[in-house]
Amino acid sequence: MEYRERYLIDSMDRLAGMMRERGLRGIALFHNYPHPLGPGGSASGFTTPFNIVALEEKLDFVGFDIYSRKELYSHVRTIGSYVAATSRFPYIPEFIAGVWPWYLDPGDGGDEEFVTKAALMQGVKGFSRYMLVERDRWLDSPIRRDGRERAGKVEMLGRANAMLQAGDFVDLRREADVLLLANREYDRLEAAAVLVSFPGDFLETPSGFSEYPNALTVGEDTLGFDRPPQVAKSTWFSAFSDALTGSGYDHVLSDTALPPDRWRDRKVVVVTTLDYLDSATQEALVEYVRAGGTAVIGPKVPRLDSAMRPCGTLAEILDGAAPTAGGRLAECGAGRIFEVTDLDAVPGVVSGACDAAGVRRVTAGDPALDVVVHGLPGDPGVKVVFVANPTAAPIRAEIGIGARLDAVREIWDGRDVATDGKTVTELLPPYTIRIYRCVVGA
Amino acid sequence: MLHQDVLMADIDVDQWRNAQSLLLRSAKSCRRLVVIHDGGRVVKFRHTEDTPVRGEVRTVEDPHRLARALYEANREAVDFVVVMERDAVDTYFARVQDSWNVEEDLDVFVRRTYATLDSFPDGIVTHPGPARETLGLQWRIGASHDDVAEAVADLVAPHSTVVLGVERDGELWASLIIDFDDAGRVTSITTADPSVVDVRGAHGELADRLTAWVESRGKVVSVVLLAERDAAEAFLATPAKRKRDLLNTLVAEGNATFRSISAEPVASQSSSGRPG
Repeated sequence: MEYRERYLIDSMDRLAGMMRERGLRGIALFHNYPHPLGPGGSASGFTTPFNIVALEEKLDFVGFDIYSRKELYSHVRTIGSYVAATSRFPYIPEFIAGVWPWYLDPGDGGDEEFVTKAALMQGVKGFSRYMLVERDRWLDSPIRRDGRERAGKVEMLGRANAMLQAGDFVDLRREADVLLLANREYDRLEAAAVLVSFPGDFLETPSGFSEYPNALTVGEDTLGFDRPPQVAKSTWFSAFSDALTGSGYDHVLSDTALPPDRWRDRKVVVVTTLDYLDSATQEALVEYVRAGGTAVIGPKVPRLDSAMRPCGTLAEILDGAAPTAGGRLAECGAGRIFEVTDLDAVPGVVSGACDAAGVRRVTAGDPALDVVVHGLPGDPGVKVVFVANPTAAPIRAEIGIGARLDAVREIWDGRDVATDGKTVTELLPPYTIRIYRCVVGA
Repeated sequence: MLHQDVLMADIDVDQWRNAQSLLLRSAKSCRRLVVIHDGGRVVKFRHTEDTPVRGEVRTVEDPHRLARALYEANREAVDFVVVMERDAVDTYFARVQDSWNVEEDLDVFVRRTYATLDSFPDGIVTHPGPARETLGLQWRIGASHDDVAEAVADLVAPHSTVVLGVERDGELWASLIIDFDDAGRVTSITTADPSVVDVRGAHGELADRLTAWVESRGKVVSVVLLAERDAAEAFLATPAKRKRDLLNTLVAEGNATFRSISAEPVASQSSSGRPG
């Protein structure tokens, strides 16, 4: 399974080398991984065979394509978050502007507006609209083949560009204190445990199944453990993701290939751990915690490394730790590790860990709403708050970010928004994202 | 029937989306009960939406009887059941991929991917309906490829265009405009363009207007078929051998407009009074 990652990386490396040898040095070379999930959202299927970290050792930056409709907000959130937290330049190389003809049930400009805001919300800093001008086997671009414009789309894209250029969007940084890591080695196991290999379904082959591993196609053998790790890893990743989503504790996604020195930007790291775990990852977790970080792991403390040799790096910390509701808590250096063993206890343990680490909790008034806060490094008086209603029903949002709100302006619509100084209250129509630029007091 | 360089351009997304919803069914969008077995030992038994299902088994002895029984036991929650043997599926895909020939018409290859399912009658089983009519992307037109090819040979003049459309509530709801070459191969597929042609009106006037629009671009329209939405669905649902009679009825009752250069005269409605 790791070979598949290397196969892609090596081929890109060779192509890049050829380009650089022929005079294309000094020009950023990037690659677009395809959109790997489709329906299903954050199911930790965005790692193998893709590897942003490793490919960015060869290319300048790497992103994922996005062609989702608004109903696939969870997918856009997953991809945007993963790219924003992992890539050195979070970029969407193919960002929906029309689609190919065999895309079933294509959306419209409303979908593209929603998805544009959703990607910016996650921290995407650049994108290439694919395609601005229509051609053979592409439809619904903002500019037709004969040069005529689709006015609504041109207006929307223009408004997005104007909003981005008007201020300091490129300087905004997402204020997410929690890092949820997909465990790459468990994802590789999942890929290896697929019962039937279906070919790529870009043209909807008769299988009707995705070529990416999923619950319908992954084997359920326990492989000698007390539970099948290739199944458990998805259950627990989803549990952690669900606990964080809508909790008010903003989190970003990456995977265990992310260099541990980049974990230090976050107050809390959450990662699924089972019977075995790479020894370097175990050491990195311990070092992160000793330096003051908070880790949430579970459902098991690994006692083996990736080669199934004894490895007690984490076990030495957790053995003898004080039991808590749903697991154990171990103090370690300046930080702490929460182990959660009970699936039902995940939300409580995650909240407890985030509170203990001093993670800001934003309030939205409804768990279905998604809220992300971006700040300007060096200017604590400005926050840009994205609020998403990714449902088919209107929702009344009551947004509080734990700071005094002196002035609020919705910068997509260009209108001032009333505030009582603590919250912003607005009715969000279905599939709506508001972008509030807030002047906050001390 | 497809030219190797089919042009798919200037497509209106709303017309196209609606045409898809009328003409296609994707197995991926269906609620499926999936059974994967390894030489009879069940290794996966799961509903696509993780819905609890009745009748779970650990072995597969007769995949057809099992698929039928599971469907009957769960028909309110399942659109179809699929029972797949691992080696059979691997062999099927290997056979399909090995058969690809770059010189071949794409539709010949695609038809073969479905036809090859018949070679695995016990290894890839669906219920209700056979695998080749259930899995993947299916046409919902009540006609086989051969039926369509026969109709094209009968009705479509060489180097001409076919205009198809569905009217709903006084507006063109879906359309396909298909060019054919002198060998009866499709060379272009597109839709009406509401930004340059008025798509409001009853099917008769729409037929006139779309024909005039296509012909203004230097093409010859040899077949026009526009119907009201309900009539279109009835026409598509009717088996091929009965479509002609149904079409005559729909035209006579004012629910459809049909004109063909080479077809026998059919009573038609047209705002221009042109004969059918």
